[in-house]
Amino acid sequence: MTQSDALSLINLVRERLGRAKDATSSLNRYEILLASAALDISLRELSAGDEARAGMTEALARLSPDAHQSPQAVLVNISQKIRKGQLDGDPAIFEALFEVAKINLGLSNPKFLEIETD
Amino acid sequence: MSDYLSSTEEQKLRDYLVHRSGAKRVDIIEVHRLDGGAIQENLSLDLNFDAGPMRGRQSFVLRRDAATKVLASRSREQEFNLLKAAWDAGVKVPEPLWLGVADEVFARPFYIMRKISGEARGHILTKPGAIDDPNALARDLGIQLARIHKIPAKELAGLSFLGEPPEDPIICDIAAYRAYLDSCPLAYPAFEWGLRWCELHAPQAPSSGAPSAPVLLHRDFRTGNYMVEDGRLVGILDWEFASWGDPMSDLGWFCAACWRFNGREREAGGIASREAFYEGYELESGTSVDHENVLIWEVMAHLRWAIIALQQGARFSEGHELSLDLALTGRIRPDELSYAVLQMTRPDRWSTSAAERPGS
Repeated sequence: MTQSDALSLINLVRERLGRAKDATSSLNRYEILLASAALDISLRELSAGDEARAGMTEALARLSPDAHQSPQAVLVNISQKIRKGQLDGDPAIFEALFEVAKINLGLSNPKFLEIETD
Repeated sequence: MSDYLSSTEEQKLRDYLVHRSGAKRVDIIEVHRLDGGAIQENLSLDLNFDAGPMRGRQSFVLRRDAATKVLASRSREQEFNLLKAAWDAGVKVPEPLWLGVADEVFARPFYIMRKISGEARGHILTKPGAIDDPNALARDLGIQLARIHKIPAKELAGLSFLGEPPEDPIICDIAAYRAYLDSCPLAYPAFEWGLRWCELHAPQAPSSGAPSAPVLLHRDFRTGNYMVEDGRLVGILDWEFASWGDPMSDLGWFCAACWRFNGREREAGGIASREAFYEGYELESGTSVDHENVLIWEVMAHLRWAIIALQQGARFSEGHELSLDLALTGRIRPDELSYAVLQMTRPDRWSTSAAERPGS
């Protein structure tokens, strides 16, 4: 199955769940909402995940003098420095972390970002 | 046999209820599972007692453990004792009735309380117009919270499991959250950033008798964990996290933006103004709310919820519970909370001098 086929299938299931939601009890509706939310995340991961990860890597690369360090290694390193008080209130660190947070939210819950920036 | 009780459990439960109530016969009319309760399972019981003080039809809730639990969650026995202490202190809670030990009916302990009716769901209670007089509700919630904080927990034998109050609650909490983050497979620098901000801005350790001296906390006092009927508060629920701490932390948890649901602009739990909630608290406690301290605890509230969300996500990812609810909490909430924590602790909100810190 190609990525495009997988996306089409998930979209179809998502649409069916949306129709089922209106014709069911409140408990089932909650379950359908959860399932729909999980599918939405999967759709965004499949369609935009690579681009998002590239954006995160770029934001984190600005913080690491070592170009070969993996994004996760950069995050570990920054975490340790923050805890030791070596980056207190550092605007560059803040901007990078904020950018990463926005990219992550774009995949997991873009609605939250829309409400926050209203 | 119901969907929630095996025939053996049902028979044992009937015997247990007969023994505890003084009735000769108890009929189980209906059993169903109540919504919510990722950590505990709540069963609604409709019963009929043929004699004794409970004679007639009664509606109770049976609370027992879910398959797994979150760190820092209290046992059913401890929760029952907390509920009893609150009931005795005049706090609006469901009346605790009986505690059941392990193997008495189920393999694990449980307790039974009177069922209260009303609405608890946060997204419903925070809809505009959902409550006729939201300020009156917020004031009552402030009064109830102050009443909880006045419970003489140290003097109550049933609460000895609480141990000694921490000397410096916020520093203790920060250490606990860092220890949990150290056990995670991934790094969370946004939470580290928030924890460092809280560490730098933490009020000095309070002296005994000060407004923020450690008291018994509910620790999950928020919209979603109290029941409202006809606009009035009928009961505070979910005592599983109660412990010692800074009273302002309960106020911070209640006011934190992450617990306002549809009422983001209404700072007291998404239902009303902060002033009404503070007013009720001050009236009952006889102390002033330390607003700056509450704001710091609101950042801590986001961090605490983030840690709980990571724990819930781990219950799914480590294969303990195949729950979509847990999986989504672990996937979505940490991202939302990272963003919110960073928003609250932007670089211009860092004070570098000790003299600038609250409580100095």
